[in-house]
Amino acid sequence: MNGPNVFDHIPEQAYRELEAIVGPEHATANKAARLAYVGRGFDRQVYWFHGDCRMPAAIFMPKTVDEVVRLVKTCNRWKIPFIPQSTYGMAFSSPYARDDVVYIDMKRMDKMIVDDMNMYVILEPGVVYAQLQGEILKRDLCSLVPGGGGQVSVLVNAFLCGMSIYNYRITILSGRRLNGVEWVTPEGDVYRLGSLASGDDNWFWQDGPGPNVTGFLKGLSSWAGSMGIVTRISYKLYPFQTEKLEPTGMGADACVKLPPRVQFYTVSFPDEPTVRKAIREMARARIGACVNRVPAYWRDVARARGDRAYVNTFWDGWNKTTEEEVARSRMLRVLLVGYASLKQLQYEERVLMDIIEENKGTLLRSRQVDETVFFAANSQGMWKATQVFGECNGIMESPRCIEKCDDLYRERMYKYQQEYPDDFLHQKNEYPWYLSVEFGRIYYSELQAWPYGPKIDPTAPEYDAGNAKRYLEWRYNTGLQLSMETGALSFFDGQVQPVGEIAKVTHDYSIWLERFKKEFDPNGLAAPGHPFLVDKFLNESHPDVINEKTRKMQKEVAAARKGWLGNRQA
Amino acid sequence: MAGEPRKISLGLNLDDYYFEARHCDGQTPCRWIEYNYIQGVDFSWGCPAWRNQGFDAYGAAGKCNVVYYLLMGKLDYADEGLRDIVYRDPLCGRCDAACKRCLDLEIELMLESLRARMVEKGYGPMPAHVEVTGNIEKTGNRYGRSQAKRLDWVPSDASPVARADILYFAGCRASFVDTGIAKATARIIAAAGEKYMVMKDEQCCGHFVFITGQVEKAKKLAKANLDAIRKTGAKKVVFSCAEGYKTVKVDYPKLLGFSTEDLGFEPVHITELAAPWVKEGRLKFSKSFDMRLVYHDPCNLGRKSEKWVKWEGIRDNKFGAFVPPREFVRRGVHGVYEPPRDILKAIPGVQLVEMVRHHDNGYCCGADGGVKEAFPDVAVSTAAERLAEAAHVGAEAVVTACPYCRGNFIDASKDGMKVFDITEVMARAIGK
Repeated sequence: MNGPNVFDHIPEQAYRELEAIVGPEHATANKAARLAYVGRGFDRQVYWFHGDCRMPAAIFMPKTVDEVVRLVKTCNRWKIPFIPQSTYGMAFSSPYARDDVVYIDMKRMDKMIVDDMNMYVILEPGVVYAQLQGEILKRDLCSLVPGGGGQVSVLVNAFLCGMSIYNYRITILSGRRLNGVEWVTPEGDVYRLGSLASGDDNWFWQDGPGPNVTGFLKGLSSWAGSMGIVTRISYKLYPFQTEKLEPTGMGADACVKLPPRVQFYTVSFPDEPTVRKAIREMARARIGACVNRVPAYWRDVARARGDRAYVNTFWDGWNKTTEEEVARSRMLRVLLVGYASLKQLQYEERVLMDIIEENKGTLLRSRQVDETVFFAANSQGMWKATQVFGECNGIMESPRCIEKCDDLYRERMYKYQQEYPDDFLHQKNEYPWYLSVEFGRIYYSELQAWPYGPKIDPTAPEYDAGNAKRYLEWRYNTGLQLSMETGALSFFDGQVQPVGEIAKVTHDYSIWLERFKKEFDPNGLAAPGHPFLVDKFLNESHPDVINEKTRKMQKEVAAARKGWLGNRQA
Repeated sequence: MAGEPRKISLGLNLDDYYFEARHCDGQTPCRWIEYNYIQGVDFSWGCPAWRNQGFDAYGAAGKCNVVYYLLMGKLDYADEGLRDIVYRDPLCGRCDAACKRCLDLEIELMLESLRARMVEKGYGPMPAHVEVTGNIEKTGNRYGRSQAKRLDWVPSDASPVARADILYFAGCRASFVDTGIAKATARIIAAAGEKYMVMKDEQCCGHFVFITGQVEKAKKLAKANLDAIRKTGAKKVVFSCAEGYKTVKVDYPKLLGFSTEDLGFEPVHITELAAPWVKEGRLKFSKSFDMRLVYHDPCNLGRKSEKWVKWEGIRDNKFGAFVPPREFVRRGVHGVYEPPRDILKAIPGVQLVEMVRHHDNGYCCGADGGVKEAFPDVAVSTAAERLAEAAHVGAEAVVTACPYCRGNFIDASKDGMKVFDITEVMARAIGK
């Protein structure tokens, strides 16, 4: 399958050596095959639309850790940069990839071994969440499915921020579930981290002899392969109730039927302060497997099904909804699970009903099915309305911080939409999407702005340069400003927001990222450019996007935090 | 300010799927069965093309990129790997059904149009396809057999009549290779007390020609067959072949620019025809068929058989709604799924179980899209995986409702797994 341009960027001998490791059927340098990898992954509407994605020189698909090691060592010997690819894992794929980069596609490594007695699973990068859930729910165990969907790699998300709305006594951060880790460094050495350092069978703990260096690989900022390749992890599982979630339905109606011990409750409250009060009371009472504040436009996304085009059904519904209607019905969706017994669910239900009554809530009808929590987390549903993912920032913080941040975002979005009503899906003064997590100890919120895809795509006839520019200005300035004003910690730093810019106003952690990277990857071959791609994108392609107000705030905040944690260099 | 949105006409012009190519977000539900049905790693994938080859280009999301770069002139149709990517794919429609849940993009049409464009540019179809097409053009059937033998299957105990409301379109495979299916179909119709007619000069339906991207040849066959069918005055045209059924119901209107409801007759699969007869008691199963069975949904009878509704218009300049609104979108949910199951459940002794992947999640047998002819090893290995899935749920036999699925399964069957067409099972249960 090698095309005439195979060796334009890498030496033929290097390609032959890499090909020999995986076998010719698992290697390609064909142009059409390579183009299929361009722009895959998170935030593609920004990088791809702006022409900042490149294709790899070749792709190799290893099956074993030994093959990965040999590929990485060979790349080091020939000084060829490499980027690991897996299933869609919220990671970037190709922005600013160098022309001589090769992809190491990890999808063939899809083994999974479940230890249900000790509640963990050993898995490889090719295993996706829906596969994991399908396997472990049969054993009365549960994990989560992050917003990226059931098709994202479990392993990859364990090193990012694979968060789910389901979080009852399960930490929302998937990285906290890691036990043993098998890591191929950027130079091709294999480190077995945590208890695994003691031997191949010891997958059980995150800590082992010596310091716990798994932290080198984790963090809210994505390394996206720039610290090498993790080939296996041991991942903690959690107990679930014993009744089966039965799949049913077709197409958009596919779901699992919920057993009596797993039930949804949809509640409408008259205003936002009441919703917030009710959520706090639920947290105080220690109830709720998911407590999810649903933005009004999601209701029309959920209703957009049937035989018609979804986009028509959505807009027919949402265009008719008035701001007053949105203001009158702030919706909360609560999932209760009787983990121990039906009695537990009945107790939690009684508490929930009391809270609803005391806060003048109205219990609405809920179909006792799930489409999005246990297997799918079908966040793409929202994309049907505008055809792109419209994220400004994602935050996990204290309830007080989130509430402040959400209030400010809503206020600014409303003002913006009065001036430019057609730039983004009109939110009609709705609050951002947020969740109460870990019994109210943490809140999770996403600040969303949904543009219409073709209007921000320079190659489309519908392209609107003004709209496209405002979109970039909105997401970078609003995101950075809100982080500085409220202290909101974004899990999209390095993905949506520029690490270098935000690090300046915290404790310059980007310096540490650079130091680690240099230490472990002296040749700079592992996913070059990461995790500073957003910075690079802004500096090189859109240097004027970050406005004066943001720059001024950065200076003020950075000055006030000078020397914080001792990380700042003189 | 934004320019004017381009006018789209759903059909077989690749240019009309720019939106699909550009707006696939790469999240790849197209590779999997619906997540809520996944039971672990085994049998979780839905796309045989991607599963067999592994590289992203073989899945629908990767193909969206490929189409985008072709449309932008940044990839040449002459690319030496392109033809393999385009044709090593049974076009089973699972990616389309999956995407319809998520982004509602017209992936199946884009892939069909890509093949049409490959042929137009002179880079398709594959050599093996040319050979079969030659047979069709020369003899009117896929096998290059004499058309004089087309009706040799007709059983003496259930002969056609000169004029009836029901026309049986047997298709190439049941007429020349698996004649037991055609005989069984005739006997089922007769057992219900109905009469049927056949066309003495029945031609190949053209499915093979269409699915390999040979649009002009497919149009010619479509016109000829439609004329011939309409001349018979049939109210219902019954098929025992899923490929023929889908071709006449969906692809003829698509090729010729009208909607299924304007065909002038009702295309029905034998299972659609017979299921009500069973329910009404007109068709009685007197013989027991003692076996634990799984039913394999043929792609062309399930996901791909929904009616075709002509649509032309634009996506509006604000947020992309269809103007005029699309009141029907083919998403694979209204296919023929229940009639075959209802029939099998009504047969004494049958224990019907479902595989992991069923209904709109059904895994392709691997035979369609010209794969069986151009990449026979891929077709057989895909079928072998499906048979392993049947064994996984403890089935003794696989029943399908398409002669091409049946044939491919038989080629792949090594471990004693039996394979039947549903008409054969029905005929045995009737006592014929």
